[in-house]
Amino acid sequence: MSDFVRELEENARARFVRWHPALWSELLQGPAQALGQSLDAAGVSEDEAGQLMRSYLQLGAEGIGLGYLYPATSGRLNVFTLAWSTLVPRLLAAVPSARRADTLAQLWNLGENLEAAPPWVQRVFCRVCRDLPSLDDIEARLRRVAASVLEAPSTPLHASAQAQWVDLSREDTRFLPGAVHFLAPTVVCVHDRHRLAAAGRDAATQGVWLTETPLPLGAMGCKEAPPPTCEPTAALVSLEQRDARAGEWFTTGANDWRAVATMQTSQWLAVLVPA
Amino acid sequence: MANQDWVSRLLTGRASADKGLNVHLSERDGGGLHDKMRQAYWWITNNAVICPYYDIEFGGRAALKNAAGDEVHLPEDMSYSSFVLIPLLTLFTCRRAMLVGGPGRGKTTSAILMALLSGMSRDEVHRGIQRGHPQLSIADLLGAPLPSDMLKAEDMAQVKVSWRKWIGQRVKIIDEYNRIPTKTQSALLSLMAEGYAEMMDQYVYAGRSSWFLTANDDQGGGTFQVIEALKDRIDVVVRAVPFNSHFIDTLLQRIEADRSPEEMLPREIVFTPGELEKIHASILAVEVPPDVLERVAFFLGQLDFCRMASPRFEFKHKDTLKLAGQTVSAVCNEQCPLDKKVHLCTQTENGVSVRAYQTILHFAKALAFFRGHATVELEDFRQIAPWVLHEKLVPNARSPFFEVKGHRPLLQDRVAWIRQMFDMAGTQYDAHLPLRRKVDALRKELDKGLAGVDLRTTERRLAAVTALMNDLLSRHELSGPLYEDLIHLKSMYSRYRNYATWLKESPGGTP
Repeated sequence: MSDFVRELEENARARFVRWHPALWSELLQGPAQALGQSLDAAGVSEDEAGQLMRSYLQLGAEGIGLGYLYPATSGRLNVFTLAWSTLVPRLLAAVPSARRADTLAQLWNLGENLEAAPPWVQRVFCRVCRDLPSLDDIEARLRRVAASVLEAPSTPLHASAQAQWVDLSREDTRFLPGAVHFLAPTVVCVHDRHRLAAAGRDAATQGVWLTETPLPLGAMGCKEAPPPTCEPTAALVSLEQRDARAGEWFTTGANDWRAVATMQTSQWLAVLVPA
Repeated sequence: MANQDWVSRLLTGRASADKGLNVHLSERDGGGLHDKMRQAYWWITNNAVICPYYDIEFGGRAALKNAAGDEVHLPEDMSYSSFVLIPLLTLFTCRRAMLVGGPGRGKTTSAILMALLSGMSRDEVHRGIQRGHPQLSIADLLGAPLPSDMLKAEDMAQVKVSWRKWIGQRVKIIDEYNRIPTKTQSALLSLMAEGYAEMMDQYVYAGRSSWFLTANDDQGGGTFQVIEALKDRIDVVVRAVPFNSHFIDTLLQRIEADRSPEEMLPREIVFTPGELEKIHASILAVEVPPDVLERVAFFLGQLDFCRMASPRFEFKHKDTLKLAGQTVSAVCNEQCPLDKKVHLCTQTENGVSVRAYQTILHFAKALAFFRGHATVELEDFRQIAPWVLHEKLVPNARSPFFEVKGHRPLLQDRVAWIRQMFDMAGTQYDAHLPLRRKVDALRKELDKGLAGVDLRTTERRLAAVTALMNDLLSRHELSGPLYEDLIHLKSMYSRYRNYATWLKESPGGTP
């Protein structure tokens, strides 16, 4: 194995200008060791464990060279880093033997394809993958994610909805929420009131995934220009009456399942989800 | 179910497991070439050319300012150094770049690196560099017939010219081209412009190649005046930058190692002829979205306009002035009612040639491809256009625009000047768009063709074109963009009129 690792590293140094030796050491000494131990503890045969380790390291080296894997100190996370640093070492051993190699390939493809997706899609998948209890049948789990993001929820919004507050200044300190529109039944895009699209440049936008605990999705790269509308729904009127923070709406947006509102002098977004 | 297909696509890609449960990773289609291009860029930036000037920026920008008005921009996306990137793009697009700047700034080194990246050996590169000097003759540059052949030959066809080997190289380097005598420049022009050279009725072809010409100073610092036609053939300008003394330790290491960057170029970033051809073809295949193209056309198209050039509508452009030996600065005065602070036409002495249009489009595609995009963005044009137009657009230094506070320094920095014109055009585009849409609608109708269109329909369309022309002329200020629209409409009018006349003269015939 040490010859294999040495050869892999030499090839990677030659192929990748941005090769990160410290990150490679971090991978070898941390997650790779954890994977070896979990495969050993699960009673996986030496041959199969060796094969899986070689594939894991080969894909990991490619990921480091291409900049998919982030160091732990960077504070950034993407699906590839989550998969290679945490999910695979912890959960691969529990996948049935015949499907382990496939699972590794699927996770690689997911990580690479998401690098080319909008940042908010990465965040959604990071959030979901972080809490995965198992890597078995990962496709079915991801289909459930896609459904929860892109398809309509089962519970409609009533007047007695639960309010959540999202501070949009945490992502962008200059952001002043303006017009809102829904990209999916539970994904809202908020446009900055002043930093509109001009001379071919995109407007400043932020997305929020309106789950029970809203998840900020960061910049959306949205090219639409929705007009700011303010038509408070019954649920928003009810919120205004019972919550001292709510009121003086600047814009509102609602569909059958979610409602959102921005205020005149606030960087917060009011979100209503079914109670 | 489209969402579920999306999930399947996310899980499918380069990695796959075989029956033996090994995971294989395939090469990325096209992406392999993007990677290699970027690896080449980063290797040069990190190891060869020490250039901390990142002046091609993408993404939104935060600005750090001081009380004196100086600004430092911090882009939120990738940024690149023009001194490294533009020569690379020139290599991939087989175009011609002029590297200009003070002596010892790395101009020739940069060109040599491009030649090495194309697969040439160090010896080939060094022997193939054509160094400009006042005694450089055509024979020195291109080749000459062997004296023995000339003595033996009884007619011209028997004389064989021994052409210089550098003519057939993929990368051609002309060092200090403004020291080449004018007569020899003409021979070089033929090779650069037409792709072939001729001597004694024999021809040699340059083949598809990239050219790198260096000059210390193109404002008359060379020995000979560069002929206009040769200057015009240069597609893009690269400005050499001063050395930043923070990197003096790197220079020291280089001296102590006694090796130059050329000697350390890794094999992995050298492109094969096949890869270069593939990159060239892939660049041409990058799409330019129609709305982006319109904005660029809106900017470039108005630069030729000069309201004062002629009383005749069709001749209200700067070529009319040039042919009369007149300058824009002489006529662009208070007699022209246009606001000089708003309209771009006042800022330039000339417009943009068709060749320059094509070069901008080509380089924008190359830049988008380098960044790994399938379509060109407006920002690609915004970043590359100033370098392409650097030597092609001449500022009208006497324009009132440059008398506005803060605008005078733009005369010293062509890149900043051209970029600000691009931005001004961008803000004007949205206001002008409704008018342009009306013109486009009529154009779309004409583009469907005239087959089967009868005289009545033709005359109705003529009336529509005339009405719109009347509306534009009588209710809007005659500016550069409006002039372009009116010329376009008049061309449509002429086509319809010619067709109507033909219909009247030969009813029932086929156009």
